[in-house]
Amino acid sequence: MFLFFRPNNGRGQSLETRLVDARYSGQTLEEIAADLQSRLGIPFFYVRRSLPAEPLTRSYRAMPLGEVLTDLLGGSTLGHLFYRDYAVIIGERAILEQDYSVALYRALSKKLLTPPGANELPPIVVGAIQQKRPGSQARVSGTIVDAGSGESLTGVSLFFPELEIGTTTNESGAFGLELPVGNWVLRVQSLGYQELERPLELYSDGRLDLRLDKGAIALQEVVVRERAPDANIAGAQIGLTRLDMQQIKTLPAFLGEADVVRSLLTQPGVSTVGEGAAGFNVRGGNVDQNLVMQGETFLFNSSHALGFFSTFNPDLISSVELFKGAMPARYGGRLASVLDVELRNGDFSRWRLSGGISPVSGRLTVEGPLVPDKSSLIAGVRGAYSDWVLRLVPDPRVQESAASFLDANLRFTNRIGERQTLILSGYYAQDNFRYADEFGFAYQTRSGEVEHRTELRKDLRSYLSATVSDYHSRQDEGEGAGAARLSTAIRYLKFKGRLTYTPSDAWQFEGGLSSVHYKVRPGRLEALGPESNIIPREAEAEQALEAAAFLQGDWAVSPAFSLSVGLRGVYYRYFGPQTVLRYPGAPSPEAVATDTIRFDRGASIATYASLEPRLSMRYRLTAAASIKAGYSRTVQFINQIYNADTPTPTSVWQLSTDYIRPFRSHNVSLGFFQNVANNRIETSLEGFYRDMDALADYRDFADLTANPFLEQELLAGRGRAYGLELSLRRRQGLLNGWISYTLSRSERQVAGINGGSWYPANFDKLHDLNATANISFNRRHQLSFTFNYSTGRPTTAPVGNYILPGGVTVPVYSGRNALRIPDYHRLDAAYTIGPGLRKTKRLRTSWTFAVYNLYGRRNPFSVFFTQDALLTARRLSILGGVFPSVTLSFELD
Amino acid sequence: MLLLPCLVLGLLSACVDEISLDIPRGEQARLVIIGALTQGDPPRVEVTISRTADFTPGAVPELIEGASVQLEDRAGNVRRLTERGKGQYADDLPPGAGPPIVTGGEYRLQVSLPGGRRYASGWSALLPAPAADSLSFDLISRDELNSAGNTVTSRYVRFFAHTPLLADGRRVALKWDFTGSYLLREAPVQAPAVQKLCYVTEKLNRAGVVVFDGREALSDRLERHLLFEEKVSFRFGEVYQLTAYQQAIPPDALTYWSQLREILARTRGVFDAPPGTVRGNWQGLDDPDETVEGIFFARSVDTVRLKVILPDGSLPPVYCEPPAERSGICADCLLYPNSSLEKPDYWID
Repeated sequence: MFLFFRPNNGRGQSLETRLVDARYSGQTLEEIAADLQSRLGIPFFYVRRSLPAEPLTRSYRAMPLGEVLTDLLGGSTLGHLFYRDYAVIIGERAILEQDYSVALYRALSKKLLTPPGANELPPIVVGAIQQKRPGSQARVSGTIVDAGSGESLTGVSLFFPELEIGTTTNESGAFGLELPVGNWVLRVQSLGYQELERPLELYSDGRLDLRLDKGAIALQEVVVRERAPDANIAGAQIGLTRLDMQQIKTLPAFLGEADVVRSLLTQPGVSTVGEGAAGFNVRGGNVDQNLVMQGETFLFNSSHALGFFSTFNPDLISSVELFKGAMPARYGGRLASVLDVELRNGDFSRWRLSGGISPVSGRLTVEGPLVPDKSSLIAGVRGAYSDWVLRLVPDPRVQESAASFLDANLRFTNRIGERQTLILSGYYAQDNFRYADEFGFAYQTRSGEVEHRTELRKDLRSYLSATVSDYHSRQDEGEGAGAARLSTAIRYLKFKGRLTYTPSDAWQFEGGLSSVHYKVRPGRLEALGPESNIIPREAEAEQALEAAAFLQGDWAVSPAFSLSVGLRGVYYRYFGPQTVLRYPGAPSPEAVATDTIRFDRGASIATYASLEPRLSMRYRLTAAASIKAGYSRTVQFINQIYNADTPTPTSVWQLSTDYIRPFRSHNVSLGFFQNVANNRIETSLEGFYRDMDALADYRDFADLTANPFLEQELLAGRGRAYGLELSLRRRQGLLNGWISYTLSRSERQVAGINGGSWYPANFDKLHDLNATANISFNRRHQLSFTFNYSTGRPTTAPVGNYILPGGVTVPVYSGRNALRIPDYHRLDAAYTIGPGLRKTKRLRTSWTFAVYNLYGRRNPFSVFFTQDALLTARRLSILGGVFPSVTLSFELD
Repeated sequence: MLLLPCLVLGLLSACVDEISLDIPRGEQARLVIIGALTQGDPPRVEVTISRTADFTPGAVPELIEGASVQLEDRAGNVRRLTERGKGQYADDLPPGAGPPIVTGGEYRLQVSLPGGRRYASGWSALLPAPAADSLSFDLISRDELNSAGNTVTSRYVRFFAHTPLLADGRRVALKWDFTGSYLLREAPVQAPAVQKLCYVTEKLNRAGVVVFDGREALSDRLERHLLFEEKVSFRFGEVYQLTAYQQAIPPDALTYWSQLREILARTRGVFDAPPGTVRGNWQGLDDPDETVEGIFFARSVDTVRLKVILPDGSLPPVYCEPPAERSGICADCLLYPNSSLEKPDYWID
C-alpha cells in the first residue's frame, strides 16, 4: 500500500538537486518524509510498514535532496528513486534497482499527472500536523448533512478502501471511527446523493463534517445500498438483510412489477409455500409470525392479488430491512422476523413525475416541494386493470371473473426550523377478486400516521408517532342456498415514543414506549342473496392493549468487538365486553361448557407480561472477517387463524385470550462472515435455532369461520426450527449477483396430532437454493437471471380407503404432512434498458422485458388425489406456463 | 399475460394435471365398521365390516367374515345379527326380536372378530325424523368449457327440500340419501319387434354426503334448501323420479358425516383446509389406541319423492335416439345397469 501526498509541486529544478534546510530531532523517517514533502512540495511514495520506526536526529543545511535521502536511508535496506523528476519513491533497494513494470509506471502517471481539479478534489485534512504521531491511531468523528437543507443524514456510508474500514452515520447523522494516522482515500455513499471520493489526510483526532449534494444521475431511483461495503462484516446485527432496491428493479418480476416480498424470497432463510401464497416464511416461522411495517404502520395483509404482489410501491421506498435473527428491542410482537419498509420524503427542490405501465398494471408517482427546502409532498398510486385480459380467455367462467388492485401512498414532510420535522402519511390498498359467481374476495387497508422528529441536541433525538389503521375483508362464496358472506376486520391505534442518545462514538442508546390498542372483529357470516340458507353467526368483537417499554445500548467495546444489548418489557391485557365459556377440562368441540361469564366493557379477561432480552455481538477477526452471535426472546399476542396452506384475506387475526395463550420463542443464531477481493465478494454462513415453546395448531376439520369459541379448535403445542444459511454475493462487476442456500427444518409437536410426535410444518423445506445473476453490459443495459430450487413441501396423503354401503369410496389419510409434493424449480430472465445518462434530459424512460418461468415448469402448489380404480396424484399448478411481460418506466422533471 | 386467468383457474383446480408420486404404502390396514339402525316397519340393522385397502392396483377392501355382531340397548336387551354375506351382517327387528326399537331409545353395537378382538360403538340415540313436506326442482343454465376447449351451455336440475326441522318439539340434524329412477326406452324398430321400456333406479352417489344441522337453523323450517344438482342428461329425457330419504341423525353421526362430506368434496383449491382423520364412534375394547374407521348410528327416516319432467323445448336427447343401430343397450335395455322392466311401486304416472 503506497501512501501518497499531493502538495503543490515546486518545479524548475531537478528533484535530486533541490536543497534542503532542516533539523530533525527524534523524528521517525515517516515524519521526516512528511515534512520534506511539505517543505519541498514533492509527493513521496513509500510502504508505511517498511519504514523504520526508530527516531532520527539530523541536521541539514543547503544539502541536495538526493544526499539527504541517501543519508536518511543509509544503514537500512531502503533506497530512493526520483520518478520522472516529479515524485520520490522510497522502497527496498533490491526492488528499486530493478526495472519497473509498465503497469506501475502507468498507474503512477495516472495518479500523479492528472491535473488537480479535473477529477479529484483537494484532500480533506483532519487533525493538526503538529500532533501527528506516526504509527498511532486517530479518531475521526463528525456529522454528515444534506448540502441543500442541512438536515442530518442517517445511514450514510463512509469507507476507506485501502484500510477496508468503514462505518455509517447514526440517526443524528453522526459517525466516529478510529484509523491509523496517514493519508487515505475516503468514499462516502448515501441514498439519493452523489457519491463522494476524496483524499483524506489524518494527522490526529479531529472532526470531519461533510455536506452531501443530491445525486445527479438516477436521482429518482431508490438506491439503497448496503450501508458500507463491509457492512456485513462490521455491523453487530446478525440475521439482517437489506434489499438493494435498484438491483431489485432489474430482476425478473411478475408483469414487470418490482416487488419487495418476492425479492426477499431470493435471500437465505426466506421462503414461501408457493406461487400465489400470501406472505413469506422466515426461518421456520409461520407467515403471521412476521411483523410487516411500513413506517410505524403494521400491515396485516401486505399482499395484492391474493399473494402475487406485495402492497409496497417500489417507487416510494427508501429502505427495506428484514430482521430474521436477533431483532432490536424497539421491535416486538412477532416470533420470527421484522420487515421494516421505510418510505422516502418527496423532493424538496423540484417537482417530478415518474411511473410505469404494463399491459395489466400501472403506477404513477408525483413529488415536489410545497415550500422549497421546507416542505415536500410525495404521492404514489399503483393499480391493476386486468379484466380485459380475463375477457380474452375462452373459459366463460374466467370471462365473468375480475381481478384488480389499487394502492396509494401520500407523504407530507414539513421541516419546522432547524431541528424538527413533521411527517404526515396516509396509505390505502384495495383488492377485488372474483371468480365468476362462485367466490370472491374484497379487502382494504387504510392507515394514517403522524410522526414528529426532534433533534433535542446533537446527540439526542426524539421520535413521536401516532398511527391509526383499519383492515377489513370480505369473502363471498357459493351461490343459491349455500351463498354466504364472511366479513372480518381489525383496527388499531398505536402510539410510540423513542429517544436516541449518542454520548460518544462508542455508545448509542435507544429507549422508548409504545402502546397498541387492537380491536378485532373475528368474523361475521351472513346469508348472501334471497335463496341462501346460510345460518348467520358472528363472533363477538375482541379488544386488547399491548404496551411495551424498551431500552437498548450499542457499545463498540473495541474496534474488533461490539455489543448490542436490549430489553423489551411487554404488558398485554385482553378485556371486555366479551362472553367467555368455562369448560371442565381443555376446550374442545365436544366439551360441554359448565359456565358462561359475561365481562363488561373494559373488564380484564386475561393479562400477560413478558420480558424479552435481545442480544447481538460481533467480533472482527480481521478487516474482512467477523463472527456474530445473537439471541432474542420474542412473544406474540396476535395470531392469524388459518389452516389452509396459505392465509386468505379473511383469515382472522386472533388476539391472545385466557385460553389462547401468547406464542413464545427463543431465537439463537451464530454466523461467520468473510469478505474477499476488497469487499467485492461477500460470503456468510449462519446457523439458527428457534425454539417455539408455546404454539398452537388446528384440530382436524377445525371450524374457523366466525367461530365465537375458537379455543375449541386449537391445540396447544410447541415448535422448533433450525438450519444453516449460506450466502455468496458479488456486488459489482460485469457479472454480479448472489447465491443463497438454506438447509433447514421446521417442525411442530402438538398433543392430539400425529400421536404427539414431531411433524413438519406446512412450509418445511429441507433445501432452498436461490441464484441471481446480473450481467451489466453498461450502465444502461442489463440482463438478469434468477433460479430457484427447493424441496417439495409436506402434504397429507391418503394411505388407504374403504367403501360405504352405498358404494362411495372414502379415502383414509395419513398423519399430518407425511408426504412431500414434488420439488420446485424455476428460472426467470429479464432484460432492462435503462434511461440515458444525460442529466439534462427531462424525460427518461426505461424498458424491462421479463420472462417468468422460462422453461415452463409446472410447479405444484399442492397435490391432491383422485380415485377411480386406482389412486391418482394430481398437482395443482398456479403458474403452469411461461409468462412474458414488458414494462415501460419513465421519469419526468 | 396468462397469470391472472391461471390464478383464478388455479383457485378452482383448473391448472391441474396428473403426476407420478410415491404414495405411502404398507401402512397396516385399519378396521372399518359401518352400521346403521333404521326405524321402519320393521326396523332393520345393517352392518358392514371390512379393512381398508391400500392403493396397490387391484386392491379392494377386505370384507371380514365370521365376526360376531350384536345390537344392544341401555336395558341390556341384545340381538346377535345374522351374517348375510361376506362382511355383511343384518337383521330385521320386529317387535320381540331383540331390543325394542323406539324413538328416544339408545343403541350400540358390539363386534368380536374371529381372532377375538372386541370393539364397541358409542351409544346412538334414535331421534324422530320430521316429515318432509315436499321436494322441488328448477332448471338452470351455466356456460362451461368442455374438454375440447369450447364454451358450451350446460343445464342443471337443482333439487330442493321443504321440510320442518322440528320433530317431537326438538330440532334435529338431518341427512339425506337419494335414489333416482328414470325411463330407458330402447331404440324404435319396425314391427313386429318389441320396443321395451326399462325402469332404471340408481343410488345417487354423485350427490355426495348431504347433511344439515337443524339445531343451528334460524327457524323451525327449511325452505327451498338446496340438496344437490344434477347435470341434465338422457336420464331426464322422459320422466325422472327422485326419492329422498330424509333421516334424523344424532350429533356424533352428524360430525362423522360432515367430516366425510368435507373429505369427499374437497375442491383442491389453494384455500382448501387440509384433510384429516374422520372421527367415528368406534373403540377397541382390547386396545383403546387402535384406530377404527366408521360409525354406528340410529336413524328414523321419512321418504319423499318428486317427479321431474323438464319443460318442452328443454328436453335432452334420449339415450337411444332414432334412428339407432340396435345393438347393446339400445337393443336390450335390460343390459343397462340397475334396469328392470318392472315399474317401481312408487312410480308416479
